[in-house]
Amino acid sequence: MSLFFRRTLGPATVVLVCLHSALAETELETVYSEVIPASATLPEFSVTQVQILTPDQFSDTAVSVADVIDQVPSVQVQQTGELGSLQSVTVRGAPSQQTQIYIDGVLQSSVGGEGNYLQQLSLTDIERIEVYPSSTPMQFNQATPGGAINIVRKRQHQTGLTLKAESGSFGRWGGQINARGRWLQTDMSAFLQGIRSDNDFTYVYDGGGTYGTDETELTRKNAGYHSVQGGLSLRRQGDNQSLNGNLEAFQNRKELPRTNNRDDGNAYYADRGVRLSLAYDLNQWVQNLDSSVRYQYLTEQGHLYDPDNQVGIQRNDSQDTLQSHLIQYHHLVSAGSVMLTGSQSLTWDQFSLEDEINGTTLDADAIQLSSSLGGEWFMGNNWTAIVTGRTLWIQNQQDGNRTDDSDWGLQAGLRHPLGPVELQWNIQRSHRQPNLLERYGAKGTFVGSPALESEQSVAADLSVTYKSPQLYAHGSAFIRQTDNAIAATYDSQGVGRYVNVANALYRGIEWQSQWRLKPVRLDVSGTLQTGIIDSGSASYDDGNQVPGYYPLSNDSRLSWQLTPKLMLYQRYLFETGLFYDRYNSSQPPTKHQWDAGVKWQNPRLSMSMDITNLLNRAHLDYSRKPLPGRAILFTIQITTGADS
Amino acid sequence: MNKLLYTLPLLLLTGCLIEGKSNNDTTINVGAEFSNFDPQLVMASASPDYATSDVLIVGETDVDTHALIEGKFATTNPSDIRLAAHNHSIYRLGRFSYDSATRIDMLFAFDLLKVDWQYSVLGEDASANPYDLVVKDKSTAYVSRYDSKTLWKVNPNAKNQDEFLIKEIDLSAYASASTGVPFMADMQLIDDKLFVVLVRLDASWGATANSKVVVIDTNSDTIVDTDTTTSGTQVIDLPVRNAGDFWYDGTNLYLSAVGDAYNYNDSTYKYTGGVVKLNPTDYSVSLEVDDGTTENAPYGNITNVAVHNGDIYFTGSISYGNDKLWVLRQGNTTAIEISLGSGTFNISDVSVRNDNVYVSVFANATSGRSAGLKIVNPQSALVTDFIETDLNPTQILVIE
Repeated sequence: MSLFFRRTLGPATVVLVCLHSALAETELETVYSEVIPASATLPEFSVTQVQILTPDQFSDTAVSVADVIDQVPSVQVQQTGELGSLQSVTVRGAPSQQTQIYIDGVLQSSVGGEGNYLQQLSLTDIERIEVYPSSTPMQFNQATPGGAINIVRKRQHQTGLTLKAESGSFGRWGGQINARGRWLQTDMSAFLQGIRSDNDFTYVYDGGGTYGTDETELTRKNAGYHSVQGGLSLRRQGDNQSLNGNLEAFQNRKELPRTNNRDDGNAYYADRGVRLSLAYDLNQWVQNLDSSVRYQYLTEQGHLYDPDNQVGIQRNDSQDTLQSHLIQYHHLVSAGSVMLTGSQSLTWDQFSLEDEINGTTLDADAIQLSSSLGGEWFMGNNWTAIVTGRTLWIQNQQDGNRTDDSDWGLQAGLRHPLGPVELQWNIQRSHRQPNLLERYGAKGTFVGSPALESEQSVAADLSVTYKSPQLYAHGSAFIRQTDNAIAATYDSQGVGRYVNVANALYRGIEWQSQWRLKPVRLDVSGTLQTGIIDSGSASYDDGNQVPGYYPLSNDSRLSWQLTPKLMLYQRYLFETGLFYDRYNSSQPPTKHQWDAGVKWQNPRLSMSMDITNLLNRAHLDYSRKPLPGRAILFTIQITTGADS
Repeated sequence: MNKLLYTLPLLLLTGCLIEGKSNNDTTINVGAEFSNFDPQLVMASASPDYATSDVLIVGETDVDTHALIEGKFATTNPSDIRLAAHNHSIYRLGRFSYDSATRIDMLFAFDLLKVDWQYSVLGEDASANPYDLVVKDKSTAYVSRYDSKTLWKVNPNAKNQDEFLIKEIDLSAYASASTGVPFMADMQLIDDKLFVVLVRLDASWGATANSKVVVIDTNSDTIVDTDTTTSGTQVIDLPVRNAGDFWYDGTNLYLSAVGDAYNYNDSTYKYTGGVVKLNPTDYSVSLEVDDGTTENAPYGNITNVAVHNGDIYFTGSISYGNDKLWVLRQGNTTAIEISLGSGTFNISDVSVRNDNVYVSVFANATSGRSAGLKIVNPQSALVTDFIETDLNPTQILVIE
């Protein structure tokens, strides 16, 4: 079975794809259309290592993609407090800005340092989440050191209606409606969801220091969160072409509590945005050619309001706006035993920031032209090899100051199935360009750094996967050298700017397994990794561990189907070894989190109770903020027609 | 097999019984090599990203004239600190959002540093942002609180938080109208009179008004009238904006002032700082060094000052990461630059002890130059020694 044959034989091969998936007993439940977009990543045939999440793995307590993504071993999600707070994603130790976020293969903008895309993305209407922790697939025309996360939306819907309501600890309420149908030969799906939480959990306040006897138990104040999201997707399918449209909108607001938990004042961060994406996919335009054209428009506004200097080191009333246009073209052609995939995209991002209190403004834009050409060779004895070359030209400008940069990437990989075992090797050179905030952001006592260089890395990994009806087991080893990492530093007057500070070498192993023995299913995944800073000279951080990730983590999930309708589960998360700082002075306590839940389900109705942090342990996040203790969530869902 | 299925949940739970360990030991053994340690300087330090703070002690041992103790109090909690020192105690102040005071006793006879206590200095404020602590006697000290209206009189011998706060002294009458907060900063105690710098920034952290110094009679905790020829209780008006820390040479107080240096939108008042001499007896002030004008500012914005035998050593910030050390010799009208070496330097503080001038410099990520303390000979104006530190030193305190 090869991708080559499936492509060249056209629609009939779709059946084979499904058969392949079923026989392999993978967790992929992908259903492809007759027209397969040239931009589709097809993870079951991926030469690059990929970890997949499907909706059946999403917890009822999860609100956004950020809440579920840490189930794959390469990803750790660090909280910065309660529900709705900023979540930072690290992939194999790489900070969040080094990981690219794609939606249906379309890169999301990061010119303004956006790090919370995953929090903005509802789990509704998602078919799967693909995590490429190291090398990125050849359909993506850019690659960065922290790999890529691709969120794939559902492409086909059956007529139906789903209503969901939830209520839980700390004043949490939520609801969702999802309608699906077909009208005028067009598949349609729409959803609307809302959630709010007071986040009034109790925690121990340490009195602003490690020592002393001034620890007191407080109830979190001014930490509320609410979010409303909605979306509409349309799909019109022809014999050899398909047209997809998707419109999403969101509005979130997070109150920002004071460290010392005083309840006066008013500080918050609010953001809202609209994302429109259109895709036109054409199959067999000429013989052996698929092509795909995509357009995305994104507008976002954020507002940080802290006029009384309650949560930061300075007063803030800053508004930032991002407008982004992207057009992308993919084409795929087969020639003998080689399949070539070409991709080009042109992006224009405009970012502005204005702070009335500080009187600071930033008005900058970036134009990027990125291209890639990848070849996939189907050699004898089930060997598949890929080579992908990438180029990027980027122009940043602010107030007439223009910076032109270009960079390149290269990736090569091998895949070799051997019965139930599959081997993958990959190596990739990638880079990340400084974003507009890092390059030009001058805000209060912070100045821009126009001469910043890009971060670069070379990463290699090897993975082994075993699949049988009862057992799925996956192990991988990786190594990554990252140079010129960008970080904020401050001068003797407390004025900050971003600089290229250091290099780092990451090494690690990962494991992931799923064992099914009815009525029990056990999922275990984890990682053991090191990330060591190389400052190139005697420095405070030279030889230290990169902060912000856990070198050892293990996630065990056990689910038990008591009856056809009743299921119990428990989860134990173990994480240790994180440092808060590059000096490696301080660590949080080792995390032991136990979750449990029960779910009753029939085709029309499901009810569940989920308990997070069952033992009510006091966890701290990676920035030393307290996390909520034990939380209970009740969920009820009613479905009419076909399930979504 | 069924037994295994039932046992699995228990196996998964075993990890829950392993508890994390937190580091809050109150005694720290510094090692036998510091048994005869004679502390001379105390320094605060911070990592370049200000995520980590540390308390450093420089002193003399039997074998090393500049031995350094560091890394014993490195922490992210608090990461933003200032220090005060009195006799053999160091007071670590956790600043914005930490709002704590911690006393560390130097017990070198026992090779120990010991955390004696930690108390909150927050009170009813959103953040007190403590700046300085001055000890009058074993049961009386004062804490200036940068983001508060009130200065605290505290009891360093308190056994608990309730006993710690003795009294609050309201200084809001000297605040700028837009904030209501006087931005009280450095303090100096001279003959029972407590001199307190009031920086007096506006609501946008702009230096739109001159700074002042308020004098408090510590016997009565009342504000001293520094100009009896004018009606009402007067405080000392300084001819500069955004005043920094005191230097006391035993006769006069000296203050550096950085002016409106951090207003990136309007440079009109950028050079309204300098070095001021204040007579603590008659409260007269004089501008010893003027930082110039927008057109001519030879020293940049003046950031720190120390005095040795009448010579005024001060630092000026020319541009980002480019600070210089200057000396105005007694009797001269023009300051001369003292070279600290090739390249540019980030200077955070300057101090004098005996016949050494100490200049704290940040690490330079580009050149690979280390952070540390440059020791300058005041006579030759040459750098004679360098004490390398892990983190960037941010404050130097002299222990007499």
